Amino acid sequence: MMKQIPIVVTQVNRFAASIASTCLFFLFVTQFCVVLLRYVFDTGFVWMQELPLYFHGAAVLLAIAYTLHTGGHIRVDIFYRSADRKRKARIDAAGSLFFLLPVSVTIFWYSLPYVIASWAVMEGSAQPAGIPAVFVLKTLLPVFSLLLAFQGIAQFWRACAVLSGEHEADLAAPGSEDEDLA
Amino acid sequence: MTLLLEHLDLLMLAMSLLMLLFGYPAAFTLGGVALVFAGIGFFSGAAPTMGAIPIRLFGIISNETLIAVPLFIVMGIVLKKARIAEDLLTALGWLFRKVPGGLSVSVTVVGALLAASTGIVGATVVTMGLISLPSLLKAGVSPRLATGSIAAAGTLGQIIPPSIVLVFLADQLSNAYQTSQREMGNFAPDPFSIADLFAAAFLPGLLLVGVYVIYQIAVSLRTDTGGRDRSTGCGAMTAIDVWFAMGPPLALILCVLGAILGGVATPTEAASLGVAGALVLAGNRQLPGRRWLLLVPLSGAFILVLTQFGEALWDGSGSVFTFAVSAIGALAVAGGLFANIIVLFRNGILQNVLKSAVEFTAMVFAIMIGATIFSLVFRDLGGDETVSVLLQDLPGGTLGAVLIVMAVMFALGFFLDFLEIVFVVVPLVAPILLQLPMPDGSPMSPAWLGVMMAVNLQTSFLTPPFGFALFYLRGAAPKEVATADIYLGAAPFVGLQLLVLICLWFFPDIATWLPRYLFS
Repeated sequence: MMKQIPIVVTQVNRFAASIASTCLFFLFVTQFCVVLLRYVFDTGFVWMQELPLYFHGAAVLLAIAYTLHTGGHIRVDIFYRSADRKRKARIDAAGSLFFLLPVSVTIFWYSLPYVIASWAVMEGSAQPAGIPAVFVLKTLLPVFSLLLAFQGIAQFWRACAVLSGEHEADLAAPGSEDEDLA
Repeated sequence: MTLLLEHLDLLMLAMSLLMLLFGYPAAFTLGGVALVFAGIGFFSGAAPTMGAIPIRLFGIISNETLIAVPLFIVMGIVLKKARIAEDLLTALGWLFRKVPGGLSVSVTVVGALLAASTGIVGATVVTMGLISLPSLLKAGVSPRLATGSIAAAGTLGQIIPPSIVLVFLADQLSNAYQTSQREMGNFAPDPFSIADLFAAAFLPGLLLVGVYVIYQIAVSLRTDTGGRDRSTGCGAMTAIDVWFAMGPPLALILCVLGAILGGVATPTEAASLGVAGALVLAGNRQLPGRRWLLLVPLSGAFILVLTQFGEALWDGSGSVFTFAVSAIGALAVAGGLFANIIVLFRNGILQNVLKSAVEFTAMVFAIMIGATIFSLVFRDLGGDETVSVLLQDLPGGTLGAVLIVMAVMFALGFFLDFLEIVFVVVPLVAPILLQLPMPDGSPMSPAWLGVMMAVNLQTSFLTPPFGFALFYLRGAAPKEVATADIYLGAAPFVGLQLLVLICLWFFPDIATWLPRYLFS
């Protein structure tokens, strides 16, 4: 039962990452439409110009936790790359516990009142005809930090499993290491 | 003990460098170490203002100029996944087949052209190494020249616009410039934009390409490979094939860059056009038999540009005719783009591209988030004043301060990537450096400083034995290539880099002339 936790967390984050990549696509589509309208037909709508910003926020933040799982965050790997499995697991366990969790919890803790204040007034755009949903954009901050915190716990769990030799769960997802990011 | 508590800021800097070496992802290491020191600071009397964190983070995601970053990333990954780089390399190898060292020259040119896909040195060097090293060696190029060319070409993309590291560098420099001008009493300075840095980096980038190419030709002439230096796979190519392989990506990159430098479009707008163009190229490459996939959106775009020119020339804006023509053009562009997207979606390439791109974007912005927390805490611990005092008390004025900063960045480049250095070091030192006079006496230009930093870091990535690029090339190169060859191959390129840095120092106009000419 407890062993299911990292798997469930990773599934949730995989879903969040798929939302992020869809948003990335729509970021392009909306930005392209804005350009087409502006340069060809000399028109534009404020809400339409603000739309890419919302997709940008989601695309940027929602995949950070899942990228932790796929090993996409860059490391200073002068020593890490040649370390053995146990040593890598020790570094990942300590890093998740002492660096990643404090960072995500801090962001969550301090962004919560910030976001609540925004929800309380249903904060809208600074532009008169803009999208009246800045509070939704701000909500991405606690959501992202929560996702990151849970993924950090999952990574810690996995690293501990490797250390105790319980089962040979890999720290990174299979296939993610040879797939070089541009 | 009290001495330690007084210098918490410097201790934090040293500690985070040490912790980074363990190899936990840099984004979270930076943030995590900063939080530990914020805690220590809290108990020893300093008052870290953590409440600024959500405001700063929201500032990152709602910064409209940074929308260009994910778009450029998508553009680069589309070009890469569609194997446009390979096509370009083969085509250029054919084009330069009569030139001595033609294949190594084409590696340099491809590295320069694919700048948009470059964010992280390692990945680019690995890609370039895997694509081109085997064919270079097979063609009889000496391992030293081959590996040196690849390492240099892999780092070249960082300084040639539109590279995403330049977008971030410009963003940081712009903030630093505002701060420095405010402190000097100028409350309405000219804004420093991404386009300014792109324009500033353009000529130095070309200069680097130029000296590389001259060096490669000279070495090939001297060693005289007797005509063996030529790609084996492109004997059967015709001139038309070559232009079809080379023309469209070349035109795309030049259009994107031209739109930004010409002041026609913002970097974000140009980036979205770049993504559209890259998608069309990639979709067309999947089904080479159907040229309409390329021709329909291309002719649509052509119609649109023509009508815009027509309106500008004859002042015919608003007439029904131009509107109808524009509508047809827009339909052709949108329809052709849609068809190409469908092709890419069916082949699964689009999903693949988006998955890579979103992870890459997440990685880049995670570093920015971690580094933001780091700088906030560092400032609260008094780090800004410490750095400012250190830099202003240096002997030698501007020369001393710039040299020290450059040396520190050079050393940091041995184990940190461009992005971490940009996010951590630039906000610390740039506001102070920008208040000093330039070597020729005029106030320091952020464009010049940015280009100096970029070329300097690029040199650092190339320098044996610690340079990042060499490290990754070692991993991608076959075992027959000796590590000593990689080091010796890179050394002359380091010399060329230093030469360009010296030129930039004595002739700052190389960097500052183009932005001045274009934008003022």
